[in-house]
Amino acid sequence: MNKILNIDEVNMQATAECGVVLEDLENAVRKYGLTTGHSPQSKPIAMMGGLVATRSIGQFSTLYGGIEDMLAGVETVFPDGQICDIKAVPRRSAGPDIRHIVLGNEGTTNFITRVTVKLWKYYPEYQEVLGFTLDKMQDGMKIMREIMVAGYRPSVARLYDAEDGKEHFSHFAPGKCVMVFVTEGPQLVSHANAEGIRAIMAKHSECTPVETKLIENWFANLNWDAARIEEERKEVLETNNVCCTTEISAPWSAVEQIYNVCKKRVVEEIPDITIFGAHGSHCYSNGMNLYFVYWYNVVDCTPEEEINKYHLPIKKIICEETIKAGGSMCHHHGVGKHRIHWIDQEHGSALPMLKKIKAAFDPNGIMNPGDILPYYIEKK
Amino acid sequence: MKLLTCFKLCPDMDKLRQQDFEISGGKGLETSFLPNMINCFDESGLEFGIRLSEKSEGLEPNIEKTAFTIGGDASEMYLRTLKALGYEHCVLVKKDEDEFRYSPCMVAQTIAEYVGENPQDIIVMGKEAPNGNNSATAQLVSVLTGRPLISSVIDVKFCDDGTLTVTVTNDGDVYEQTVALPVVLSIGNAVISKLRVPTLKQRMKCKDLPLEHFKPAETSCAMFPEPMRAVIPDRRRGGYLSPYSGSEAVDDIQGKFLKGRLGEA
Repeated sequence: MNKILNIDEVNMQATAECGVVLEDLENAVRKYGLTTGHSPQSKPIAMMGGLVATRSIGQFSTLYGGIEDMLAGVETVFPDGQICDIKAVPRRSAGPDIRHIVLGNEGTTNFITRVTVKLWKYYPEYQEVLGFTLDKMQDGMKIMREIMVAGYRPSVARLYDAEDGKEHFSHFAPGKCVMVFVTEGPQLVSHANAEGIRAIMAKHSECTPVETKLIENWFANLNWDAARIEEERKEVLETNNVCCTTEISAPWSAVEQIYNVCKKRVVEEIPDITIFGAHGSHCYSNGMNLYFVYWYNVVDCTPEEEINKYHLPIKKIICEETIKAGGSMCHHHGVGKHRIHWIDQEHGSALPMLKKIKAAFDPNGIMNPGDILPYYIEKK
Repeated sequence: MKLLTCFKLCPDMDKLRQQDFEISGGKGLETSFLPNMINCFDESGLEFGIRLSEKSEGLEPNIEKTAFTIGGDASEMYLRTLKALGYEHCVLVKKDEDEFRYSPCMVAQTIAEYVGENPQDIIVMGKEAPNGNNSATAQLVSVLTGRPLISSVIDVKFCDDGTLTVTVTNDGDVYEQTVALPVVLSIGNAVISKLRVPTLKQRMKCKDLPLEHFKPAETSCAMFPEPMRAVIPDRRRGGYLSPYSGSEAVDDIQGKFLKGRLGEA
């Protein structure tokens, strides 16, 4: 199931079987001067069905949205053998949006077989790249809000704190936070967005513009190839220094608190931390995500114990503090098995809806058991 | 016992895209926008320094470690990292990188001058760096300080009697030698390639500690010529043919690549 079935230039959508790799689809539509607008770091290996099943998001999401904004139609199979084809239309109001029973189900209720996504014109020649440094992450959050609320739509809007930025920008911004924007689209639109962002940034004397080439070079090297991944594996084995991440989303009113509390607690409570930082990489009019990035030295424990000694306790702090402050514990990496412990707190009074969906479509519990809903909740 | 590990920062050339190849100041590739990193051979040397020091714990005398570099402000962050990892002395010779870019002789003179004022038993450095690539500095340091040089070192162990067991490669062979101090070690493709990472708490403890600065006498050296002019040569095309049938591949090579060159109809 790895064939691209149709690239429809008139209706600006492409249909692919679930096993088509996103990069292959993107390369195919680029030949028509189009783009899917979807560019997660997993693009070279992620398949269309999996991207939909996990509610994926890409690096240009602030303009193009997540996969839920791109998905026009989808064919899926339920465990009773029922094949359902949700037709691709621009919009409809024929009851609840049933695409969302498929989106993000993580294989727990159905198996996606075919996907239709929207396409956009691709204008790389009009892309503009902007970078700024500043001292405080909290100031950056306020400025990011200002830009989003004003109505500008860069494709990339990122804010790195100094710790996370150390891995990326220490050659030109040591000890500084960094904001990065990319605008794209038709020339007038891209330029207007860039000019608007420049105007807002110019009002903030704490922000210093960065030479474009520095940001362009960083962005060009942001996505790792297989060789770099292998190199990192060797580094980990040699240094025992491991990197993990947890990403959350939060309304503007809560994001600063979550950042402050998580940073304080993790650094104080978890041993052997070598870096604890965060960046926001997906921004909305009503909030942003925080992508916590943490490195730790694995000390005095077996490889099997590592996850319980370090990764899960850190995740627990981040998830619980995020939910307490009114955010979501998972912005784009899904629930999986790591975050099911907090799924009831995440959904609160809406949890029965999730349970009923699972019970209705997978009454025998044969689809990816133990994912999204833990047994003790599913069977309650 | 004193150990000096010399290192230099160099641009991360893996991050240089082909379209960004550009000559800067007529002497070499423009790399100012690239992230920097500790030269990989020096990085091995720095980690060896820490391991040797750990091995010497409880023995007399302990190893007192110095990390030494010549460079600009960017070096400070790395020196602080080394401080956090236990280097007792972190020494910066502040110089514009371009001044010393092609001058292993001036670098060696500076190191020798420092060693003259701060005697060392073991001097460690990488065998070469990508933006120079001449393997000269260690040899010159050996000559200027009058110490034997062991080159292409891939492993170092500390012996109880105060000597070192050094594993080296030579023309594909690997052998061990026991060496008395003082000595200069030039690190090759070592078994240890990565420097360990300090914890956040270790880093915080050292963040305000002062670095040491060393100001060498004015040096001049004409042993190595400065490059007069650098150019990027015309590229030859290279690539892979997608795997398909042999006859199709032959047709492709003939049609796309050979026909034009051979001037056939």
